[in-house]
Amino acid sequence: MTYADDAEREELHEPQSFWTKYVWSQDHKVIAIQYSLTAIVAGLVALTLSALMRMQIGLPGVIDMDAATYYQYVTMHGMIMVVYLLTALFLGGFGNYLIPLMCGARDMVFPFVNMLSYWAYLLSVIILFASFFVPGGPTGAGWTLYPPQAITEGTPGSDWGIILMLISLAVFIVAATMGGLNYVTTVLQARTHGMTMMRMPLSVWGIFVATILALLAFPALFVSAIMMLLDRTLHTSFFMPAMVSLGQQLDYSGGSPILFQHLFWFFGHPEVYIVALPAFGIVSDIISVHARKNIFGYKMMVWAIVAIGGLSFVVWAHHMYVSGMNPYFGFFFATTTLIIAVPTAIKVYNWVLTLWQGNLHLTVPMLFSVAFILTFVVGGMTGLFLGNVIVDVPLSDTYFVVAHFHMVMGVAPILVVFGAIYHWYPKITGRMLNDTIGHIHFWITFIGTYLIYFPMHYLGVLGMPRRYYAYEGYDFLPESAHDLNVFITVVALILGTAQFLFIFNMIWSYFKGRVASPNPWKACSLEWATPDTPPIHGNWREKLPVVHRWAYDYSVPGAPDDFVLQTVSTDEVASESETDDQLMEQHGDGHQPSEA
Amino acid sequence: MDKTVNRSMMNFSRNSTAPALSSSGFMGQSTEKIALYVMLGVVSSLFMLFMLAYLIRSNVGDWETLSQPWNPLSNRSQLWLNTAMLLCSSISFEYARRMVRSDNEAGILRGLMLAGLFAITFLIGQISVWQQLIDHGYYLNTNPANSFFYVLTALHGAHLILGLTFWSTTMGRAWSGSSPERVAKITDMCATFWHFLFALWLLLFFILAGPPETIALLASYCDII
Repeated sequence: MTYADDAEREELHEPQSFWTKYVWSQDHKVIAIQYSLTAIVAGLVALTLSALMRMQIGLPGVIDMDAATYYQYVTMHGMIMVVYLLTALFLGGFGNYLIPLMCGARDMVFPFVNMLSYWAYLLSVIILFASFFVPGGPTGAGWTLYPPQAITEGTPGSDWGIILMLISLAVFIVAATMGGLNYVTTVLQARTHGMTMMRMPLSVWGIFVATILALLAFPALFVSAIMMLLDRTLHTSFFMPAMVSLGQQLDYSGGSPILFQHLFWFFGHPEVYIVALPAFGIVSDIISVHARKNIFGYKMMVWAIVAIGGLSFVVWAHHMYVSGMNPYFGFFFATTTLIIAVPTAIKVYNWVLTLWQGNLHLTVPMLFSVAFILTFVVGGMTGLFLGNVIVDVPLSDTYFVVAHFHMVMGVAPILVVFGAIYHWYPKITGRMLNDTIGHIHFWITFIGTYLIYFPMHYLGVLGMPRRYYAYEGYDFLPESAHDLNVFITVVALILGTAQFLFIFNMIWSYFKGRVASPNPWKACSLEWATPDTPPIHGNWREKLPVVHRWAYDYSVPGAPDDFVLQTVSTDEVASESETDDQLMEQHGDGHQPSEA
Repeated sequence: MDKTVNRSMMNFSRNSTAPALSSSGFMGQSTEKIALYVMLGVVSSLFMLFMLAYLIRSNVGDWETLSQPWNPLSNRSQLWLNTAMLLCSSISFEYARRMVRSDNEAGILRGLMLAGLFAITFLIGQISVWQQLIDHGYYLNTNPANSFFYVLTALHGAHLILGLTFWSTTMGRAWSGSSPERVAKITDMCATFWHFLFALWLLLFFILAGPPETIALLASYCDII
């Protein structure tokens, strides 16, 4: 007897009270929304911090910011965006919402643990934000938190800020582990009848492999967080070398800051793919739906996701070329970095080939997805530059890295986040997002990000160093660089403000948006086949859906519609086609049957 | 037109031979068992990284392996005794698991009781090793080898305590004779978890208190700093 058989036999206990329904909810859809809203709020804080930082760089004097505050904002912006927004949104938000629906399950296999995961995540966010209000403020060590400076007096937030940051990360990892346990087990165990692994939509594959990466890579951050916390609070010397600070010999001796870097990046590089793989999967699904074509090379796409996941564990030291390492190490990590471009390029080719001769519908989700492909290629190309030791060394401390990193890890995934929200919002709320606002939001975001980050590549090649809080008085920077900084800041402020269009759209459409049909995009995957929109508690009624095909049967020759749901059997398609043919014959050529 | 046959390359999901007590899916395992294996993967990753950090850090000159002849862990008798306790705990859980299969309630209770007692003895033994270290002036921050010893044994102990919380509820159920299915399931999972923790302890014991020359040799392979 399978898990799905059991799920059909068991009686559903729908929560009745407001608290169990919306607050202490164990329903994966509610938890997904809780995760997403918390992540978006955290993201807005990080967005505000970036606006303030850009004001300091481009329009110094307009706001009163000292160097310490600048570094604190840099650190918090980076950490919130990478971990508390993107990771939480892709795994906790989309993972939670999509896995059970796309696999045809009633819920995650351990709903209580799933609920705990969200509350632990919220706790980690609260701990992190509390550091804004402690003496000394949040840590300003940079988002990589490198010792020894992260915990040495003189670095902003070295009193309480760094302690809260490390505790918050540890709590976040516990939350991510509880969630991850659910996602992996649900995919392996709770798929409905007929939903084989190779029939799963690529969104699920992306989230599934990304979760495995998270489960194996986050322990590295956990280990480094514990060790650094002990160095800071109990004066162990895991990472702290013997050193003199402010004229005083410190208690530490012999610790290795490089050891921290290895551990951090053993987490840090897979982290890139923890964010990227769900984005890859989601984009594959969105472009297939809106191009009305099956995804090109499904099996290749799956194995590329798996290969990228595996390779992501053997490239970490390319973040450490300037830390100094054995030249053979550099050669090894440069090679593995370039190798990872192969499966990634396969994915890009397959997306383009999916679009090729498709019946393209330039809807808002599609625009965001196509923009992602372009942005990911741009960001990936500069990654090939930086993956080579000899190119990385001179560029490492310049704005070239800021531009590369933001293109590939910031803009590209956030475009997918937007595309995915525009795509699945009708299923989540039962209403469509406003299309006009969506188009305006897309074009401002797309053009705006390029106006911000393209010039940064130039500034980097020009030698403009990153991590500086003010650029006045550096003779090697020409006047044009300062002008560009002003330009970038102005665009960044416009772009940041434009994001409130999206927030407004989400709130307005929830109440006033056009009512969505159950399957407004005419998609094939299971989440669009739920009997209710939004799906009820338990997702399906008495019976779970039975899957007969993959999730990409678009424009199938002979089928009555240009899509065939995963739940439709071959016999049903054949009989519908025959009925259509008969009706066509009765009505004569050129007359569409009134009821298909 | 039909993709049914072509697309079912890897059908992991259907399995008609299910165990009596729980539904099965991936590789014929119960949901809880799969979650346990995933969890063991995470815990393995955590400890492997800690042990690698230990070996890498030990290449720095200030390192003093605790098993050097002049250091307290050159005498490993207490640690061997603790190892024996954990082994007995593991064997007792295996005994309880077998009693579940033969439906012997008294046997289950006996096995569980012994497993818990041995595990608690192991923890007390570990604390006594800590006490010996403290008595000799080997504090947490005196030397990085000490730091690793305290942290790794504490983490291992924390996992055992986590296991003991499941053990205590199962013990309560077995004692009162309620929910035999639940007792069977958790006993089965605890047995697997205990075997894992025992194997992990053997590895930790070797790394933390093994022959200094062997540890130094291993560390030399990990000298990346």
